Amino acid sequence: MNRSSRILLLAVGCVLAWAIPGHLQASQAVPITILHMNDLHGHILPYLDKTIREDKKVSGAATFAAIIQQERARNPAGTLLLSAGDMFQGTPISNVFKGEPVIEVMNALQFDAMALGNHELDWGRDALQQLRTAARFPFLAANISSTGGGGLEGARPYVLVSRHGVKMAVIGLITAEAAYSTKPAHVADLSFLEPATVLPELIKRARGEGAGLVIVLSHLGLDADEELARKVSGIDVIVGGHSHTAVTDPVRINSTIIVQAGYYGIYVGALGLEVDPKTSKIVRYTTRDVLRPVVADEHAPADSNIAALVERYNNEIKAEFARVVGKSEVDLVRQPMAESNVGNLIADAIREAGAADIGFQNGGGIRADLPAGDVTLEELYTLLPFDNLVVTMTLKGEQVLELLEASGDQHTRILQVSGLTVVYDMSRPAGSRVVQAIVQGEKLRPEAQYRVATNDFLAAGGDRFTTFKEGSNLVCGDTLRDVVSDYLSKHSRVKPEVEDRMAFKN
Amino acid sequence: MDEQITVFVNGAPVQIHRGMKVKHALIAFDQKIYAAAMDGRIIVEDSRGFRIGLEGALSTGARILTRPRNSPHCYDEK
Repeated sequence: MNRSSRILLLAVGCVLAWAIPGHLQASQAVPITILHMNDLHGHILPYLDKTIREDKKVSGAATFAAIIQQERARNPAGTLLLSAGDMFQGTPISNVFKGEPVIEVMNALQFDAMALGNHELDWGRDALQQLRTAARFPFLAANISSTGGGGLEGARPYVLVSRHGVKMAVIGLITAEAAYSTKPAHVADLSFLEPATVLPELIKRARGEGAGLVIVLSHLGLDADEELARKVSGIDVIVGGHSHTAVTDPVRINSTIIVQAGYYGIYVGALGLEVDPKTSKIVRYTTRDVLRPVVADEHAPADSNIAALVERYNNEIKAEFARVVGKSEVDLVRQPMAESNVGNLIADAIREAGAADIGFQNGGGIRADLPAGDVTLEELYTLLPFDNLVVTMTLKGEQVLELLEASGDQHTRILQVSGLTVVYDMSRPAGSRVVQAIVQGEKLRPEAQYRVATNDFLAAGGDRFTTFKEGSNLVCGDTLRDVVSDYLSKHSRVKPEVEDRMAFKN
Repeated sequence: MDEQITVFVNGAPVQIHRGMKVKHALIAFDQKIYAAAMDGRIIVEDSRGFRIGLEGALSTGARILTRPRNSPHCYDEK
């Protein structure tokens, strides 16, 4: 193919990548660019993620900032920058400073608004208020109602913004499942309302205040966004998050355009609209390739101010990683196929955090031995590198027994336990080897109900412990690392021992 | 709302606790698939063919699919 043919094809491709809804013409239209991110989860440092690229780091605030600036420069007076939530929780550099570095990045990039995601509630309401106070943009959540009346303190249902004379309402929505996936104490006085029930009235109100375009900033997930677009008329654009979906080409449901930019800052979303300023109707929009990959290699653009900001926090986090969180009088040593002292310590921490009768930890989730002495935060990350959460559920005694039988089967790594002792007779057939199980000093009763704390890997049925999937009244807690860190801080010096919580006979 | 939801992994129904994520559905379906997804040997997509992250949220009836990765990096995957 010669050069002119390629240029012609490119030009045709560019035209085809814009859709023209209805009969409207684009001649007098003004360009509006919606830049967006979601589910950053604190990834302001570039990171190597084999699920995305094997050879180069991705994401990182310095790079995505430069991409945002480049995109904004193409339409400086017509660009909006939005976040669909879950921006802070997820990496050490953000977690240790309770999201402060991310807010600084977002302030520097001049975000216009952010929908609250369920993980914005992970650190409690005081931490959220500190972030809101630090933010120079509004937090939006239209479907949270508090028992004290009104919504979540400090969050607004929507905000009005204008670009090129087009007034737009940006309405924030959060998933109602936040009630399930958040620590109960953080949401005890809150109700999460069904989005489709609150949205029509809000759209009406915003239109009454002059909004020509309605943008829903949604932390609901793509499936729910599509359902919302089918149920509620009058939504022009949904900028989504929560399902971590890389919507490379916008989805169109009725007259609603839906976008979402993956997760962890691996993309910046860039949706181009052309809007008739007289009617505020979208006359054209980009229909393909609306995600800009964020690859942090030597050729990538980088915003030096943002890079300096991130580096400052990165230096501080190195010092934080050296912080001593507790002390152990003994070496903490794993035993994949037997009870271990470090397994007992972790299971005890889980049980205490969940205020449960029984604690379980999978041996495979413990990834290092630690020497006696100071335990630093960095060592905790090597001990427990997975981002597991502590969860608590109700199981019947017979279900606990099933788990103990599966553990004693020894086809996979056994469970480390707390709050119970168990004796196995290995001469008996698999499935009937537990000959004694004592919970909190009393014989385990098959019909009784027990509160059982574990981690989310096991709760999903990991390591073939599928009975955990049958638990009821599931309550999410803190991350396992935080739980163990708190336990060490509270109980140090610790001296965990192998104390025959599990005995194998014959 | 029910405490457990059913989602579909490669067409097979999988039960998970409400609020759990893509990674939990893969663990519940087949832990080897989960390990392969973690290593980047397979890609996880939704029913529309959009790539989804392992920490992505799932709702009742969600359909997720796994397939071997064709390209060294997923930005090239279509």
